[in-house]
Amino acid sequence: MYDLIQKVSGELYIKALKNVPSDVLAAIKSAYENEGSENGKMVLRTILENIDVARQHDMLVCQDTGTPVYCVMVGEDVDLNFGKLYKAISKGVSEVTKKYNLRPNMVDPLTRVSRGDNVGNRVPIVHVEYDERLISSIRIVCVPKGSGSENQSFLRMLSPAEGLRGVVSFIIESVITGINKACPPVIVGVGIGGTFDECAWLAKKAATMRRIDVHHPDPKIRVLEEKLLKSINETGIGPMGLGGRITALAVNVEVADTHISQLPVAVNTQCWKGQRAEAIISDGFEVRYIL
Amino acid sequence: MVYVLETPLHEYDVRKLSVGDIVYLNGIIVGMRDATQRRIVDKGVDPPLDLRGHVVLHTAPNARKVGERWEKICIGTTTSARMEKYTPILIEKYGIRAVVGKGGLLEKSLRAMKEHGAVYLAIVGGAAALETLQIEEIEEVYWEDLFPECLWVFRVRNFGPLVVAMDSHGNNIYEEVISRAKMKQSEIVERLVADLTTLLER
Repeated sequence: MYDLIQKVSGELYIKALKNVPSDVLAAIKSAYENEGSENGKMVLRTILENIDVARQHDMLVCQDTGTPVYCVMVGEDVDLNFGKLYKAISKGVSEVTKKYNLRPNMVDPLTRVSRGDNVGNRVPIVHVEYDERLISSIRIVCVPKGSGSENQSFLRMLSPAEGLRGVVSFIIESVITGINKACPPVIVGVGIGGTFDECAWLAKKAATMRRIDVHHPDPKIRVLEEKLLKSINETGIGPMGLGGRITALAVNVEVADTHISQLPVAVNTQCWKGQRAEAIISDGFEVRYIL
Repeated sequence: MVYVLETPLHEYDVRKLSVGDIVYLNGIIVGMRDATQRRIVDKGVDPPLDLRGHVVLHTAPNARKVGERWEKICIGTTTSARMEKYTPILIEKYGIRAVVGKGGLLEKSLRAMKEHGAVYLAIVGGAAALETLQIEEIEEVYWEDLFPECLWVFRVRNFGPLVVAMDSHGNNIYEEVISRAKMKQSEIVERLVADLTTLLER
């Protein structure tokens, strides 16, 4: 099974770089229809042309091969050894990096020295989560996280007294501060609650791992997502920050319970191409890719 | 206005451009970014070619070396903000005439552009497949030890569309867009709070 996970992890990495997920592509097409500014329209037309060219020539959509981030969701009946799982994913990333001559991005944070194959000290980043719906299956999501959007990440430990106003005010402020450098129209991921680290992970998961054509199941979070999207698109920042109507393709919000004395909020952005690929491995051998 | 320009550029090529104009480039452009510019500016190492009149592209490509030649795999553009520290020096001391990037630069670069005659050309970030096809060839690569952040010399054809986002007359589209957004900020927040308060009452 770990050989299969290795193969699938590598495949997901290259698929995420070459393909734009169907929900994201649909959102870009609709953004093109709805954009009013001349610059914005030109940007979105170029983006759509680029996606076509990448497909025709079997090329990467964007040059940033990202930080390899994986989330492995497992059902209750799956026996999984984390050490073997981690090694399998790591080998998959390294192999594909070499096979396709992918740009090596990962370096030591202080010496800036690269190992050359996009794995190393705590890379790939692998999250393991339990999902009761999966039963005997494993779902692997791969997000090669581009840096333009990752650098536009914000977290604040608010006081509960700041309440809803504090939360939305921080989100809008974050968007206005940084979104023009994140390749808009972006997907905005928001985490509310949890602890410092959990909140950041919720924002990352919201921005990168969840489809953008489904809302949060909680009706009040759904309304929050809709209102935030409308508001962000009123800022006028527009495609590539050059001015226009469509600044975000979607806003996804994830929440977790938090401590009585805390109110953490985090914002993570994902660039327009929403690079993401996922697969479900059923009963240890059957693989289905979802792109 | 739409301009097709041949590189290297002269001062009059860039002085005629205004924010909002569209540019396509033909000729040579020079790729460099963080590590390359740290070497030039922080370490004080002169670049191995005369940059006068050149167009700098903020990039670190996917490429491979076959024998003595470099083959392109995927070449795209990175966020320019990190190069704000270095750009004024590249303009003043080394005479570059244009920067191609995404997300824009800040006040010091804008001032240097005005004083010396240079522009910032915004590319569509992430549209790297298209960009790779518009780059005909990697002509030279210097400082291979910095791979992928070497100093790259590309030959390009119809490289664009590029939007003049900062011109040599002191205009900056990003700055204008952001200041308009900031003016609306509190109104947007107030409306959100009003819309959501009843929803979240317990």
